[in-house]
Amino acid sequence: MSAAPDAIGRRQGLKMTLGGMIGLTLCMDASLYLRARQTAQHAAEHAAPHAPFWMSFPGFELVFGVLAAFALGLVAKLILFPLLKRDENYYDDAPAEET
Amino acid sequence: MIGAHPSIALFAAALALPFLKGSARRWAMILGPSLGLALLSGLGDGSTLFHALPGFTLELLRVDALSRLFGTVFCLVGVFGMLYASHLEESGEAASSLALIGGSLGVVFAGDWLTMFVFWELMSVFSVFVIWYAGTPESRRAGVRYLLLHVLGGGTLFAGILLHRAGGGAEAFASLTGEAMTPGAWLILAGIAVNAAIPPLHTWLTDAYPACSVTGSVVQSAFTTKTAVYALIRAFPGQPVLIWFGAGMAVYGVFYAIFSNDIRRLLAYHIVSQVGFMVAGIGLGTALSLNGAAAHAFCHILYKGLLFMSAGAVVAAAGTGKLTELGGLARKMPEVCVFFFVGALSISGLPPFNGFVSKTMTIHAFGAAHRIGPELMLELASVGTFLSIGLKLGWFAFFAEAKTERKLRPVPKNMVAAMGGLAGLCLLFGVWPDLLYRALPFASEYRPYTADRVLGSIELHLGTALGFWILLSLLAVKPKIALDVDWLYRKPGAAVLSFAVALLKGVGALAQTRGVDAVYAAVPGEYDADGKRVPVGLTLFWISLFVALLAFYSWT
Repeated sequence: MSAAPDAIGRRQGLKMTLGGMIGLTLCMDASLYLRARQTAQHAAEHAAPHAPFWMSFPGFELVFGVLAAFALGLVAKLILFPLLKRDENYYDDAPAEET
Repeated sequence: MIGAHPSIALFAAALALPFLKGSARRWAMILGPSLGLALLSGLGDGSTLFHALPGFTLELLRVDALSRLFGTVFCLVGVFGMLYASHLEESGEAASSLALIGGSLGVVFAGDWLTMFVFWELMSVFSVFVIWYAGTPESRRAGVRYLLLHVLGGGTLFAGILLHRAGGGAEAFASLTGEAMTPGAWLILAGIAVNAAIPPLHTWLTDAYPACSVTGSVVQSAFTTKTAVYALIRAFPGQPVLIWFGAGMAVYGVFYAIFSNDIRRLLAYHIVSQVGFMVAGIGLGTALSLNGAAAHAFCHILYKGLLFMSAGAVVAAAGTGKLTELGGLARKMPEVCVFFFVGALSISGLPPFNGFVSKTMTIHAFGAAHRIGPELMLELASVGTFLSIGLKLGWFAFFAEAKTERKLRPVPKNMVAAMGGLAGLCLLFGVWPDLLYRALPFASEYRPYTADRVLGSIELHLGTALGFWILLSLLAVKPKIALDVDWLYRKPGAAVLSFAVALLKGVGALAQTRGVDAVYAAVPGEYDADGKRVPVGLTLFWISLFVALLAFYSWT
């Protein structure tokens, strides 16, 4: 399907917005992480003081989000859906009811 | 009026509706739940309404922080759900809806098991009527399946209550987790699990809610499952089984939401998923996780109502809810699009919407209790929620190019107003979480708006969006359905049933040919029915003799 030129432009804009936001939050997260490490009350201030160290790494949630979306999408669409999918009228040929 | 049970207002409105016309009926629909809210705010804590029966006492009205929280949100969503439905010409569905709300309030304020059970069953009955009022063949069949499963669930619950009482258990509708789980308690748990839509007992929900009318599914989405969540908080806080069932159903619902093509079925699977967060929180049983479950139920009712309203507006306008036939609606129905995204971002748990202040609370409770496994499963379900509602549904319904050009019917103003109201509430409780936290039943400390929690949530969603972007062509919707547990009773179960019916018919036919017909054939000569018939007088004689003997013996 050939997309209209303005659709391509929109796609480009979306891509740049998403990239920019990811970069910005990563920077903020990194600075938060570094500052927290320098502060004495790191343990007291931090959200989950007992969490494993990798959960508080800057960008953990971002990586988790991408990986989880991939895992869900791939498992759902490549493994489960091919097994479970049926035509939309699959149940319609059930015994007709009398009204 | 002070001291009256809030559900009285709902039942009264339900009874009055068929006799009212035009704007009087519209006002009565909205006034019912509003009056319920007013009555509730006039009640102090404690039990006030008792009814003594031989052998036990019904405790009809027990008000505490937990029942007040659920009662409040039930009335709130009732007001907006009725506003959404106020253009209906016909009063049956609205009356059933009001009675359903009344039943759920009855459960919430019940102080003993028997009262709870009676209102529980009322809810099931009126839910079925709400389904049937859609008037379509699918809704009729789905309603029957709903009824059968809920009769099973209600029977299990009642058997559990009887066993529990027979074993010397308390009358009060209160926690059963303290002592060892008796068989009665397990049956009660199973009965409640049907209404909480815990897989594999969830298919009544995903089967029936998309078959409701547009207005009916809004009302349905709020009450049955959340009343069950309330019952679980009451009766099974800290029951460890619930942690894994909850975390499992949170992920389970997400998978089926990814498969779904019908937007209301997609949202229905997300009820299963979201209730999973609450069930898991109840299973953990800390003050924070129970508060999280209660708060999440509160917020969920508001944003899920909003999502079903916007999906309903799409169905009402476009005449279909299939994503494969929708697209490009953002330009054609901009206000519905905005309201949908308020709901979608709320359910995803993005700040500053209400899902953020309740969902992160439940997830954080698992982190604080060192339960990393369920915590990560709930995070995974969060990703799936945004993936399938905010991104998939949002993209394919509102932004992707429409496959077919369709003429849209205008959306009634009252529907738009109701969406606006719920969207406002989603934002209100998101921006001002203390309004909700103050009303929570247990003592716990949680601050949602810290820099790393806000940033973490935004990162999680950006990551999901990135993943969606890359997988977009794979995630495109297909015009297919996915088999679920209901296949068992809709295919093999139905086959067994029709086999049994055929068998009985066969036996009957055989008895006719080999029995009755053979006897007739054996009689020589032309058969004369009157010739073989016993005279009426003889029968009368035997009956008179029998009655006379009976009279004689009962006399002596």
